[in-house]
Amino acid sequence: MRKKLIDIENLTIKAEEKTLVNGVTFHVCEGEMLGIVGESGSGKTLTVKGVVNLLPEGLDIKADKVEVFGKDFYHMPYRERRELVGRKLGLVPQNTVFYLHPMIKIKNQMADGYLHYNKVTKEEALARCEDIMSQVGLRDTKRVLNSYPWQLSGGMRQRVNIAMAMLNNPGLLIADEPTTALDSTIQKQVMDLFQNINKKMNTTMIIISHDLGLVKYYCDRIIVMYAGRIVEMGNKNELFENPCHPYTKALISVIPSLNIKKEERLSEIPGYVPEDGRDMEGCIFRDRCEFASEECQNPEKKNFVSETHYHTCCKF
Amino acid sequence: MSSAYDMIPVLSCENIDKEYVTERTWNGKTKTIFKAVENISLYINEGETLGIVGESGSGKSTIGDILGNLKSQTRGKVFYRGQDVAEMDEESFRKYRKNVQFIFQDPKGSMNPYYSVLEIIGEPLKMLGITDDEEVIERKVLGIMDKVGLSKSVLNKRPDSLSGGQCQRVAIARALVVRPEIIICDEPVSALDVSVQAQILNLLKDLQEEMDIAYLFISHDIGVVNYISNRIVVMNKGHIVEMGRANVVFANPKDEYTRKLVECSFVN
Repeated sequence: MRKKLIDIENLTIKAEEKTLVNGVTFHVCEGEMLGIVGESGSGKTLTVKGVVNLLPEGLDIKADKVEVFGKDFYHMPYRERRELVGRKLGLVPQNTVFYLHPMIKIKNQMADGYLHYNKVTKEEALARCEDIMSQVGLRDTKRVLNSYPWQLSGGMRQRVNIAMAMLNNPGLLIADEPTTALDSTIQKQVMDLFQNINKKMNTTMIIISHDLGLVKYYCDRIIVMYAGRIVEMGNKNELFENPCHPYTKALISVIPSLNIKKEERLSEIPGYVPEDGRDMEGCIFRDRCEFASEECQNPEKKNFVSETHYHTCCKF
Repeated sequence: MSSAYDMIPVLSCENIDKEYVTERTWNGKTKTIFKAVENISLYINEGETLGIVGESGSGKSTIGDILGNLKSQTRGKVFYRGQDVAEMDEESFRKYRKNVQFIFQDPKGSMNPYYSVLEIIGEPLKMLGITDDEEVIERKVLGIMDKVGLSKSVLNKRPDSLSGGQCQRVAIARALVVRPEIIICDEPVSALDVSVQAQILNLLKDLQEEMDIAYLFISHDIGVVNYISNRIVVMNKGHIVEMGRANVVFANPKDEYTRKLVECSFVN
């Protein structure tokens, strides 16, 4: 078995009395591409931010185990933790507009992280920047470095962000909805780039997305989250060929495909993702599930289809 | 049913250009212009759905805005039932305004946050001079809310206490309340979750069957546009690159750009 870079057991995140993420357990192996899918508000971003220590203030975090690179994350000294996050973890944010400072040129903000963790001069850092930028497919690196963020297009800004995350050669790159703000042709370029980084440098990736089609295309292993819980996890082929949880099935069938018949109605999931009561007993999806019955109020358990594939439905 | 040849389209446009002045000289003269769309001609028949796909900046929203008279075109003409919109008298312009309605991408952004759902949906009735009677308005609003699947309990709520899907339903109700002939839907589902997206798409289809409304459906999502449209227009950089029946265009793309778009969209 490959080394586990991140190992989380029973992660729960609360805002005062409201449960946002409930009992999430998963791990990330070295060199893999893990996809986390779910609708907005399903807690996928919070889960990952809990790992990289970027949670907004005022949230309570509790877990049986949070191990990052084999070390207990929440009990290590502050300095060490910061170093770990800065050096070994890279984060590509969703919103490329807010992540870069609009009034500072790219060259003056890009290398900050690199300068902080390495004893180098600014010239050396900038050379490193240019190197990385050409690796992520930015041509004309001098011009980009001398621009303000608002002078760049969305795709270019996203590439700058990816380059920034790559500066310290992180072992793990977390991309939070990396392509939501991008056009579909640029989306493909960016995702291909991630795949390349993953293959060439053996960088582990976590891709958070709401686009099941995209995740299916690029990721090896997929986690499906709903209302703060993991409802199904499995390898790509297992999950798409044999989706077990009703929510996963519904999620796959609601996306209009190109060979859909026009007369056919899209299958829909009635209702909305619940905001409150996420800590309730039993299946959280039962209010919207067409197969729901009495037994769905029993506590969920993991049903293993195979060694790597499980779901949490009580009925199937 | 009459054949396509003797049918007058509900809404059509001919050779539309839209230019923006992006830079002026010191004394206010035009220095550079940006052509948002160039030489666009299209039509929408009664009860049909015309989908427009393209990436951001391709001018698809501009077309919608011009057809609905939210923006004015630099050159070219817009026709409502064969009548030039620019030369309409007040009476027929009012009719045009009533019959061409909008649904926008961000439902919350297109609503007054201080209005209740009743006021939001009822406002077009007042503005278009259909009725001023509060009782009639409430009856009509409740009727339309029932159609779009909103419960009565939200009637006095404000937009910020509604979910995204509910808000989009309110926006649809607001467009429907005056019984329009065509609704211009500018990315109506792209801000919604996939499960809610399916609900809204089904709703739009049901309403079309029931009330015989035409849609101009603008979206960047090929799967969605393909599902809902009869005919499709593909736009790139302000030009129409391909136009045709939905099942033909994507199954067998003629244009290089359309092919690229289909390849990049992960729908299969």
